[in-house]
Amino acid sequence: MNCAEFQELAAALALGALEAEERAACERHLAGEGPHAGCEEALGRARAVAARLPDALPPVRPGDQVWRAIEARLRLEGSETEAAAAAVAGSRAGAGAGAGAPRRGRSWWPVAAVVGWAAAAAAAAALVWVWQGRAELEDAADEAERHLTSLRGADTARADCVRALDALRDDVALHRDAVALLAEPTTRVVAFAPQPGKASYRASAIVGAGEHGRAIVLASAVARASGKAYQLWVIRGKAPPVPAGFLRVLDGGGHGGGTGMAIGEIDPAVLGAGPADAFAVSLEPDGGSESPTEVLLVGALKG
Amino acid sequence: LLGLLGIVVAAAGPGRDLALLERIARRDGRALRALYEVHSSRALAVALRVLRDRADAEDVVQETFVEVWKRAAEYDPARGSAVAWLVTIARTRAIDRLRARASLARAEGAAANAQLELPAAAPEALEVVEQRRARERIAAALESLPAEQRRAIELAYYEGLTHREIAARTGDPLGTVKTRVRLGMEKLAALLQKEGRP
Repeated sequence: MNCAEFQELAAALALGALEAEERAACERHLAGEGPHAGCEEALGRARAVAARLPDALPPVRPGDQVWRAIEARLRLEGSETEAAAAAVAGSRAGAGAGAGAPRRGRSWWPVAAVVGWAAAAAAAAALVWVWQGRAELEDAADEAERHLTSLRGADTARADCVRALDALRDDVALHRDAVALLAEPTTRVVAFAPQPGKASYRASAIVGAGEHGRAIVLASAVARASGKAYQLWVIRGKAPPVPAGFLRVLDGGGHGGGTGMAIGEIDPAVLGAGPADAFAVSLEPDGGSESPTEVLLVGALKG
Repeated sequence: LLGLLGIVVAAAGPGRDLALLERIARRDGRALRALYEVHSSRALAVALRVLRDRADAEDVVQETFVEVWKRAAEYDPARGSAVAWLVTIARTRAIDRLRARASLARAEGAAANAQLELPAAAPEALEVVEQRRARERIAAALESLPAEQRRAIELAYYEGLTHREIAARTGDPLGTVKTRVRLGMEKLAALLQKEGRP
């Protein structure tokens, strides 16, 4: 087999469509000494295309019994039974499989016995950590709620922590609303176009259907800018843009620089005032403006 | 406080998946659960597409995550993304099961039901948005292929058929099937390349 023959078969090799002897011949060719005329590259391209084929399928959520079966299997199988059982049992507690279920296995909540700042910070940190997955989200929300209860009415520093935690809780709730909205078949996802010189910004609007539909904007690679706010706008025809709320910057956008994710909802009152042509995101002084100062992104809803 | 939050948050997407697999390799059941929350819907979608039977497909998802638990240490990021590795395990298991089936007719009969499944909710909204865009792009690219090229690719990928088996299934000459697979994949690559991916 020469390189041209190999490359003729690269797509079929990536798809698994070759007969055993053809596949063996391809593998021998690839393992053989070169020089090769782009054989690995051709196979890499074909594999990249093949890996994207499942992207075309809408995701389907397994029933609850599937995870329970996995837990049961890991308890029964192999020489690592004890470790697996303990670890998975811990994960079940973390998943909030039952309200008030006793925590077993290794605890990931590090501050149960710590008070004040450390407790508040860890509670907030845990609440953000939940962005990794809904399972951990449920658990962290419960923990955070307990910490909130214990912290309310405390001194000013603690009160600041409580406010931060409250804001995070709101963001998590909005995030979950966004996921629920996405699950609706009639929901549209509108990509925002970065304005000239703002190519690093990315955002999408999740727009529900119907006159009572909501619109939630998610942005990535957003930096927390001191004294600045990311303001949302609704645009209708040639009328001046209408202020419609703010994006709140979440992870990674801390004081140390870096960028993170931001989330915000188009003010339902503004959204409900009539059909919108576009949404926009601008950078404004803290507190916002009556008209946009520095437009970063525009998402056209029509056309 | 906000600085601390920035430190604690794990990156979403590939970085998050890699970190989860590393934790799974160290026998962290919580990480397995987190990976399951994020990717079980994709694994089930692939298994369902192959098997066209919900119960069988969910068994495959179960087997897939048990295998991930056992083999997480073998995952090599240089060979592809974690989700591609996981989906490959699910697809391979599903195709094995398909081949072992006594009756293919059962799968054909269940096909209509499979189309009625609702999209799942995934834990990361931004990631869901990205997945949805990716789905629209690849679906549009597949849709733009001539039907016989698309069919040949799908028979190879989702049913694990070889060129010869596809020819037997469709009744087309072997050479024609080979050409369809090659041309279809080349066209998909060109279409996806135009969008910057893969």
